[in-house]
Amino acid sequence: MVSNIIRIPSSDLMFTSLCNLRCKYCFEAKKTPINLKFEDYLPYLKAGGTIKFFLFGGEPFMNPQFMEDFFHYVYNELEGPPNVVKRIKMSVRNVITNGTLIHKHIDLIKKYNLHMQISMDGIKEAHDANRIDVRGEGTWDRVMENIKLCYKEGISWSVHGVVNRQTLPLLSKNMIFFFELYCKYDPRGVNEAIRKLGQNLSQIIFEEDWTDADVDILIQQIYEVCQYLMLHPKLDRTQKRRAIHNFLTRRGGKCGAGTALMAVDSNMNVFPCHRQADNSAFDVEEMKLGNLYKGDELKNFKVYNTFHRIGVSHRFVYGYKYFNHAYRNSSFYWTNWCPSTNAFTSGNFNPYYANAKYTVMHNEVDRFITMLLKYYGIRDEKNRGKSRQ
Amino acid sequence: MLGQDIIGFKRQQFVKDLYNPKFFLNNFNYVHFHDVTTLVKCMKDDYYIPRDIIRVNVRSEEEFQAMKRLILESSMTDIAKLFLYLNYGSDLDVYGEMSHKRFSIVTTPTVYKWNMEKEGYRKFRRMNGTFIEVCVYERNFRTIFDQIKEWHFQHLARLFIIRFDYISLSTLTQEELHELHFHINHFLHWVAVTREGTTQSQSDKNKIQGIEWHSTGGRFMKPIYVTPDLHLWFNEAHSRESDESLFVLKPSPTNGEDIPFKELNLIRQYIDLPIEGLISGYKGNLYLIDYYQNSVLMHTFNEVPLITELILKWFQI
Repeated sequence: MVSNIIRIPSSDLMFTSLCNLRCKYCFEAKKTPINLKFEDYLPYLKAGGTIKFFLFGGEPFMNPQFMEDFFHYVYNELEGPPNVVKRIKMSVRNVITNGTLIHKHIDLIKKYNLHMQISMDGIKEAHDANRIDVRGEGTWDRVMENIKLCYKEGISWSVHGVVNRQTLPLLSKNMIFFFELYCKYDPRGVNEAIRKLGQNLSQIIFEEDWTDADVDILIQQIYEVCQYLMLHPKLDRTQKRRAIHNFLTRRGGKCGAGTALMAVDSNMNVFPCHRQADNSAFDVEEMKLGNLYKGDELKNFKVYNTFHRIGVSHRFVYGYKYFNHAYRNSSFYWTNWCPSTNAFTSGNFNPYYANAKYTVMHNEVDRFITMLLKYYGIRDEKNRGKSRQ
Repeated sequence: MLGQDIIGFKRQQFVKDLYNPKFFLNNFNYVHFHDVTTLVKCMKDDYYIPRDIIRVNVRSEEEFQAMKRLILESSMTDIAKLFLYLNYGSDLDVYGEMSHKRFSIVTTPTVYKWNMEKEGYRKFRRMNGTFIEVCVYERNFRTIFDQIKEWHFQHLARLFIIRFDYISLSTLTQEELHELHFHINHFLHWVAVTREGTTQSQSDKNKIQGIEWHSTGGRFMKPIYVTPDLHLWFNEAHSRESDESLFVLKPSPTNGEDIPFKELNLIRQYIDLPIEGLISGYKGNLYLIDYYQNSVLMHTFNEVPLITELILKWFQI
């Protein structure tokens, strides 16, 4: 039995820092190559230190042995109250991957019925501009093959991408590509494609020097996507309205980083958020809270307290009980309520402020969206009663 | 613009507008200049027109004469509240002829004591306001409040500016914190007795009007410190203790698009935050807040560290 562990309700488990890609915008710049061994993590798992897991990398499939052992243990040997065990089994299904190695581990995926959350930026031109492998070659073809494979093998999948300044002019093409991708390769077809439009398929990176011209381009791209959906020959009137509504009023997920959620890296060090582990933008030692197995040596309370206080103040203001800060009011691609990213762009953890240039873009896009909703005669049902920023 | 062609949409905010050198310093309502020359330079280059609160360090007789000329020649003191931070032993007679102008002198206890013993003391007292600034840091609280009393400043008790160095105070032990609480309470009672002339109970603290709670922050304050090389800092301590300034003023025609986002954000996050958002979650006496120290202790300038919150609570009037 292990004593003095740090108990974390939800954990971003970064069990490998290896990755076979070298994406140009990746925040894990240092990438110290290390794999976590399951034997090292098992005592913690047995002690019940965490009840919700997000499997994170690096690229998770670069450490398949850990995954194999981990899933075997969770699905066959894990003991505890039935509701807790069920919750853990549910939480571990989601694997965030770059989608290039799925074909090599198809048995593992099928055996444990895993969900593949694939990082993909859109059409080939946009994807290959940033998401390259160690040889500098684009990876779009490989990812596409694996999506087709998922469809063929009945594996659950979804795509998430990012947009930067370089790929912004391709945004409408990317969104249309995603829409058609779901129509074609998801068993639920067009309904799933419409539903997914309400999620963050493409988040805009806000650590960029956005210009006024970029703001105009983004507005133009949003309008083009709406027009595509409005003029789509195979969608009926209700579907069109639902698709546009979902696209325009999409919101980001909720995040409890630093409060309910902590990140654990391959060395079993604990950070308030996965963006601070292995990230050149931060002094890792300064951000580290301690080691998973050394609860009595916790440090950096100021970092933790800052996150916690931000969370608490947001809880009061916005009513999120556990998922208190990031993505508040995040309409469209808006993610500036992330304390870690804010710390990178403005040196300030507080989520009140991020990148000024991005803020201008967001404000203008938000006004434009409000106008578009009126233009198409769509009520913002999803966000009724919530103030837009 | 592309955006203007779509369903009549017109842009309202622009990235270019994020930095405009003209009157840039007027985004802050408490501007502290390193010296008189810096103030003159900023006014001359249109970075600043005097407004709200100005604080200027005066380190020599020459600087004082330059400041005197500026005050007499301009209408500065009509529209702005001017604090001259005097940190040299001066012949106080020179202030006499400017007594009709609205400005205040700020000194350290040492300089005040030095001046008090001089003949010009009476004239010095006739100034619109004479503030004595004390800084409580690390373990000097054991003596600082007693020293104030020893120097027989009772008649000037309402004119103290008390600054706390929270970074060093955050190292205090629990016992020392209790001791600090005792000294603060003792000081507040002393002020109350001095002002009212009678003994008051602790519950009558509301009647204490003896201390000016000016510090580097405050509920309605956005302070900034300007050095001769036009670097901007939260305050003087920030410029001394840190290598990285908030921003460097850039001449026209620089605009928001020309400045890298990281550099721009450091200052814009401070300017853009609404006053009520400066300090989140605390509604008490905010005049003793120090944004620089917040950022050191909390990684964010608008979250109050526990030590600050504690001291603010003790000082709450």
